[in-house]
Amino acid sequence: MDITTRPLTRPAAPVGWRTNRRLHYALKMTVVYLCLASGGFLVSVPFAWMLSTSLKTLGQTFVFPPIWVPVPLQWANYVKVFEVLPFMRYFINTVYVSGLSVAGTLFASSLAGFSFARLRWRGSTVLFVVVLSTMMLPPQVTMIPKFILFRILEWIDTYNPLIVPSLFGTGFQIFLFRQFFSTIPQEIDEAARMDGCSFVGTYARIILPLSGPAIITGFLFAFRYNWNEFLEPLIYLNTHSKFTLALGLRLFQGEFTTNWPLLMAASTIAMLPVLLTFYFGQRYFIQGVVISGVKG
Amino acid sequence: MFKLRYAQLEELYGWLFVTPWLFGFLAFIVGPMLVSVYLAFTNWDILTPAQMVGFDNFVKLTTGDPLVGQALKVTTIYAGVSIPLQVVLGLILALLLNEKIKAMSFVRTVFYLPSVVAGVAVALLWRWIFSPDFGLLNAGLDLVGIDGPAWLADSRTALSALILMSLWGVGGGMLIVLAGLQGVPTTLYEAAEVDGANSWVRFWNVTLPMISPVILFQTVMGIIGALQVFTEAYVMTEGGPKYATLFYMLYLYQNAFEFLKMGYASALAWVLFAYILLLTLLVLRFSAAWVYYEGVSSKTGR
Amino acid sequence: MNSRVTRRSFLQVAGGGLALSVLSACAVAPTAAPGEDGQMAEPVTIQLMFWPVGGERGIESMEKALEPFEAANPDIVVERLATPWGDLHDKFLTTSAGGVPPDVSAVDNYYLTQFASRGILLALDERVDADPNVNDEDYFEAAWNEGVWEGERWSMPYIGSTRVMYFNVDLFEAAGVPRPDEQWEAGEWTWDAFLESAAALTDTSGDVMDTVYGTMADTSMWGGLQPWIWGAGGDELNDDRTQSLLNTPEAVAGYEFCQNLIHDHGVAPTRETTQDVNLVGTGRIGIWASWRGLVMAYRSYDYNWEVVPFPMGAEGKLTLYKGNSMVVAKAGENLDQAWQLCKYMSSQEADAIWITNGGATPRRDNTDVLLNSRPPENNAYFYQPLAEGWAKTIPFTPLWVEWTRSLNPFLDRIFLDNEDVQTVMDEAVVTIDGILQGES
Repeated sequence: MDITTRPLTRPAAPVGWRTNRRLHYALKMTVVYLCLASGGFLVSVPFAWMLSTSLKTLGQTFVFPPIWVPVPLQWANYVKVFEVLPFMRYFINTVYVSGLSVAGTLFASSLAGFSFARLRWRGSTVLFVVVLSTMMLPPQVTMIPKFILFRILEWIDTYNPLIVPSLFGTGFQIFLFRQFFSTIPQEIDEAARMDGCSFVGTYARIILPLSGPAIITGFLFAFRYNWNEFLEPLIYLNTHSKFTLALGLRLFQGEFTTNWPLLMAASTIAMLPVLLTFYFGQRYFIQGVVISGVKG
Repeated sequence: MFKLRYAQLEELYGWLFVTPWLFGFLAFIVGPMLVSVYLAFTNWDILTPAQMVGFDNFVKLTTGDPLVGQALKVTTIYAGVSIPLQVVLGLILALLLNEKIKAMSFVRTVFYLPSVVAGVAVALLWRWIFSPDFGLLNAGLDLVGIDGPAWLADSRTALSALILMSLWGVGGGMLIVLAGLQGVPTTLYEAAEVDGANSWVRFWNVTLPMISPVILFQTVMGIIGALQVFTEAYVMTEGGPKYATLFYMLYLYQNAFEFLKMGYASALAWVLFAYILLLTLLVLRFSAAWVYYEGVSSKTGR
Repeated sequence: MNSRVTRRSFLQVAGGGLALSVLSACAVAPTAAPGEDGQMAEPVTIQLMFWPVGGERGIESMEKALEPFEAANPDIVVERLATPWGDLHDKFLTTSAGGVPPDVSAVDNYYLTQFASRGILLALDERVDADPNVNDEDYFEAAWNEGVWEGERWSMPYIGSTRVMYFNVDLFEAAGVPRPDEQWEAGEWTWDAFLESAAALTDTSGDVMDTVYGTMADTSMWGGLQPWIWGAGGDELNDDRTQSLLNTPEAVAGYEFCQNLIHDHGVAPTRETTQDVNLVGTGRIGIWASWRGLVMAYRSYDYNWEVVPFPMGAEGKLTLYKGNSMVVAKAGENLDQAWQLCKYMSSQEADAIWITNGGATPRRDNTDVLLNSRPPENNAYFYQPLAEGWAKTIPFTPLWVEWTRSLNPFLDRIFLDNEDVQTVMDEAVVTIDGILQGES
C-alpha cells in the first residue's frame, strides 16, 4: 500500500482560455471578498460592542447615543478583573479541567467513532442510536439524579464530576468522528487488511493520520464546550478557589446591577484561549494535502 | 473460512472499540436517565419524597395544559427555520473561507468568534441590540430607510429576533463543513475539471456528496440542539411577550425549578426526548438517499 | 450514617483537599459536637451558601463579615459557597434533593415559603426565644415578620429594601419643578403631584436621542407593581390566599395608573425601552421607583440624584418592603453551630457591611449606619416606612412564583398592547385562581 500526498495544482488550461479564465477568477474572487467583508462586518459588530464596553466606565454602558470609543479608554478594567476576583486561579483550573476532559473525550470518542463508521458488527446501528439519544434528554431532569450519584461517590467539590464522565467519550464527539471517518475511501481499509494490518493498526496508523482536520475539529469543539461549560461546575464545585472561568464570570452579575465593563473585559480575556486554539488549529485545514491515490 | 473468521474478529473489535463509551454510559448516564423515567410517573417536588401518580403527568400534558402545545409550536418553528438557515449559511461560509484568500486565518477567526463568546452576558448584549428605539439593529435599519420593528418586545417578531440571533453563531457549522471540505480528494476535482465540468457542477457532483456525512451531522445536531434551546429565552424574554418565545426547555425548567414540579418536568422531558428521537430517526432513514458514505455505514443499511 | 459526615471530616483533615483518595477517608471518625463540659471540641465545619451581594465585590465583603465571627467561634470553620446570584436557587434545590443542603444559606424571599412549606428548613422560634442575643425588638416589624410562614419562623432577616423613588436632581432644577423631597416634607407628594412632576420633566418633542422621560413605569410583579396596587386600595390575593383580587376596581386602578404613564400621558417610555437601555445612567429619567441596592451603580453616574418616599395614593403613605433570608437546613448535622452562623449573618455587625454594599436594613439599631452610607442624603426614607409602619410586605405563598409567572402574558397585553385593564384582569384572575386552587 502506498499513500502519497501532494499539494493542489491547477491543471494547465488550454492557451486560448487563459484570459477568459483569469477574468472569471478575478470576478469570482471579487464576489468572495465582498461577501466575506460584509458578512465579517455584521458578525463583528456585537463583538466590537463587547470590546468597546470592556473599555468603559460603568456610567458609559448602554447609554444612547451609543459610545463606541470611550474617552479615555479604561484599560484599567483589564487589570481590575484580576484584582477583584482570583481570575488567574480560575484560568488554571479551567485549563486543568478542560485539558483532561478534552484529551479523554477525543481518544474514547474516536475509538467508538471508528467502530461505528468502519466496522461491521451486529447491534451497531442500535447502539449508535443510543449514543445519539444520550444527547436528547434535557440535562435539567437528570441533574439531580446525577448529583446524588456523585455524592455517593464522594465527588462533590472535586473536579471528578467534570472530568471523569467525559473520559469515556461523548455522543457529540462520537457522532462527529463517525461522520468524518465515513468520508475516507473504503478501499484504504481493504488495502490495509490485505497488508495484514490489524484493526487497531488500521485505526491508529491509517485512519487517524488521515483525519487531521477531523481531530482538530473535534478538539476545537470539545475545548470550546468544556471551556464554557457552566452548569456542572455550578452544581459540583463549592470552594471558590476551585471555580472555573465560566462560573467565575457569573459572579460579576449582581442581584441588581451588573458591572458590565468588568464582565466584558473578563469575558474577552476568557475567550482568548478558545480563539487562539482555533486560529492555530484551522491552519491545518489546507486543502490539497490529501490522499491522491492508493495502490495496494 | 478466512472470511468468517475475519467477520468474527471484526465483530469482536467493533464491540471492543465502543467499550470505553459503553462503560461511561452504564456508569454515569443510564442511571440518572432511568431515575428520570421513574420521576415522570410521580409528582415529585424535589424537596419531599416522590409519590407515584401513574400516567397523570402524561395525561395532563397532552390534554390539560395548553402551554405545552404553545411551547412545542414555538420550539418547532424555531428549529424548522433556524436549522436549514444554519446549515446553508454554514455551508456557504465554509465554501467562501475555503478559497485562497488573503489573511485567511484571521478572516476565519472573525467568523468563528461569535460562536466562542457564549453565555448569559452575550444574551443580554443582544437584548440591547434589539432594543426598538435605541438599539443597534434598528439604528442600522434606519440608515437604509427601514423603520425597524420592536423585535423582542412584539409577540409577532420576538421569535424571529431569536432566530436571527442564532445565525450569529453559524461559525460552529462553518468549522465542521470547512473540516469536511479538506477531506475531498483533489483528484476528484481535477478529474471533473478535465471533464469540463463548471464550478456549479463540480460543487453539486463532487463537493456536496463528499461532505454529505458532515451535513447530516450538522442537521442531526441542529435538531438536538435547537429543540433544547434554553438560555436565550431564559435570559432575554422569559418566554414573552405573550408566550411568543415560550421555548419548550424554558417551560420545562420553570416547572422543574421554579414551580417545583419535577415529576411533571420529567414527563415533559421524555416527551421532548421522544420528539427529538423521532425526528432524528426520520432524518437518518431518509439520509440514505442523499448521504454518501465511503465507510461501511452505508452497506450495513438502515 | 450518611456520607455527609465522612465527607466533612475528610475536608477538615485534608484541609479542603481533593482527589479520588477521598474514598479512603471514610475511616475518619465523625465529628463530635462541642462538649457540654466546656472542653474545646474538634472544630465543626459549617457550609454557608450566599450570593455575593452587589456582584464581584460581595465575596470580599463576606470575608470581612466572617472574620470577627471566626475569631469569636474557633470551634466553627465556615466553608464558603459563593454562588452567583441567578443560580443560587438551582444549587440550593439540587443539593437539598441530594441530601446535602448547605447548613446555612441565603434565600431570596420570593422562594422562602416554597422551602418552608416543604419542611426542609429548621424552625427557629425556640432558638430565637432562648437566645439572649436575638431580640425581635431590634428588627423592624415588617422585616421580622417576613420570615414567618404559617405561624412559624423559618429565617432570619437578611438585607432587604423598601421601595423608594429616586429622582434626578439636575433635571428637576433645570425644569424648575419643586424637588420631590420638598413636596414630601410639605405633605403634598401624592400620585397626582408625581404625575405632574413627571409631565413637567418629560421632553419627547425633539430627536429620539435627546428624549427625557418624566418617569419609568413599573410593569412587573417581581419589580414593584405592588405599591401601586396597594396604594389604590387593592390587593393581590384574598386573606386565605386562595383567590386573586387583581380584577377588583381598586387593583385595576393601580394597574391603570402605571399603564397610563406610558400610553395616555406619555411621561414614561414603553416597557421594551426601559429594559434594554440604561436610560437612568444617562440622566434621561426624572423620577423612578427602585430598591436601595442600586445606589452602588448610581454613585458612578455623573449627575446628582436623591431619594424620596413613594407618593401617596388613595391609601395615603404606603410602600413595599422586600427582604431576603438566612435559613438553616434541618438536615444539617450541627444545628447549633449553624444557628450561630445564621444568627450572625443577621446581626448588627454583619448587617452594617451589607448596608455599605447597597442593602437597606431590617434592623432598628443599624439606622445610623444606613444614614451615614451616602449618597443619598435622604437615607432616612429607606427606614421611615418601616419605623412608622407603612411598609407592607408581599403575601408570599409556595405558589407565588407560579401565579406571578402566569400573569406575565396578561401584563404584556396591558403594558405593551394597551388593552383594557379590567377585561384583561378578569381573564387573568381565572388563570391565577386555577393555580391557587391547585387545578394545575
